[in-house]
Amino acid sequence: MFRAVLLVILLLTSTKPGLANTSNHDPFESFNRKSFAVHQFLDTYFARPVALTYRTIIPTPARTAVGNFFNNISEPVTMANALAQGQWKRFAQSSGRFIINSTFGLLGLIDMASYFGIDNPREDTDQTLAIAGMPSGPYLFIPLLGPTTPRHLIGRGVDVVLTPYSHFDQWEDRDGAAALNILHTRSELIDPLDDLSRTSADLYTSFRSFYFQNRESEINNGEIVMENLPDVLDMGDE
Amino acid sequence: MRSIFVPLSLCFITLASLSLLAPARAATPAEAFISTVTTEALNILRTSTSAEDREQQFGSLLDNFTNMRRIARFTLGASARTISEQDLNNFELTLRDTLVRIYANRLAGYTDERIEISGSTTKGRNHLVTSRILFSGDRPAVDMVWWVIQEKDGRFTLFDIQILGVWMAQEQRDVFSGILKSNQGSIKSLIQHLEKQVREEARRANDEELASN
Repeated sequence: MFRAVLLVILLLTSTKPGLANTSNHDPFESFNRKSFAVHQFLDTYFARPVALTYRTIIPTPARTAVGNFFNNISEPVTMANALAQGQWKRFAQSSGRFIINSTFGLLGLIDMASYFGIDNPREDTDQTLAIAGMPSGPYLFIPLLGPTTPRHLIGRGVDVVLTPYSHFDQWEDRDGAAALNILHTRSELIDPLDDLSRTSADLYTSFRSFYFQNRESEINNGEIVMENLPDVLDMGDE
Repeated sequence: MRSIFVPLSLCFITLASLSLLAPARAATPAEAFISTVTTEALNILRTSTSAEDREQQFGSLLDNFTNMRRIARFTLGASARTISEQDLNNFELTLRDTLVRIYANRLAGYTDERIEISGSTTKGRNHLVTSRILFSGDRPAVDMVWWVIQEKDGRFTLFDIQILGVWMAQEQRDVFSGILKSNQGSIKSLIQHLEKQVREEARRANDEELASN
């Protein structure tokens, strides 16, 4: 039994993302494309219309407050992971934001910390696991959850535990908060995703490329190492 | 209260004076290049009279400020080394038309945005220029990195743009690689795919223009 579990873990974590070609990290592409089709159907006929209705009927200041609230309530995720990665400055920034926004910012509804010029770093458990050397595993596309990897799934599980609202006593409060967070996030993505759907020659591959590149950038805290950029000079020197 | 207020005021005045006295940082040639590109792009978006006019001006902008041969080769990946010169030329032309059509229409609504250039790093002929797009509405600012290459003749060309950690040319390369893979590496199929996309975008832009008139 232990060997079987070990085999599954090794299989799930045996690929490591890089930017050379993201299709190399998608051994289950055929299955993932089917999941993506299901996701697109659910998104087109359910998630997007609901998010659009939310965006239409809720005034912008109220939506901003909702976004601020969920950003603030997820600060413990950043704090814990910044601490685990030894990123003291980010830990201090995130803690400072949490204290300021939870008090002066009326439980996080107002982003006072940004007015004070405090940066908004985001750290999560997937980033911590990546920095600890854990490979991402193969690319997976899960309907309504979106693009992910086994490592990211583990990370998301830990992040849920670290998020305060998942510990609310009443399941209605817990699930209600989670549903509102998802709805708000989808509403924020209406325009970028519409743009991408309209302009991509292959939406599935665009999602995968965006996912891996964005994750890589988050793991590196946005830092670009010039030595790691592909060598393209010869391609244009005639 | 007065005892706290006085030193705080002095600190503030000192900091303000120092910031006024500090000389403004001179823009590097790569930063100046991006400043020119963005100014011209925003001018096109603000002054173009129709979708056709906008696309024509964007085409000129692309011709003047990019090395399309390099972008074509990069986005084709390994296939660029095996296809004929004629196919490469055809692909380059189709890619240019696709980029013009898509970006000219995609950016059409962005006329009141500002771009603040914050710095740059250089390694050999590669330059990365960092900037921030400030939107006119309540959308939060977005960081953007421009990959600029100094050509052998000394002029600068734009190679790629990174937004939210995503390089656009890399994304195109991934997409093209997928299309090539599912068409047995046929460059003609890829070109047909892009031409179809351009036709659909043209139809959509036309419909939108008719609806807005």
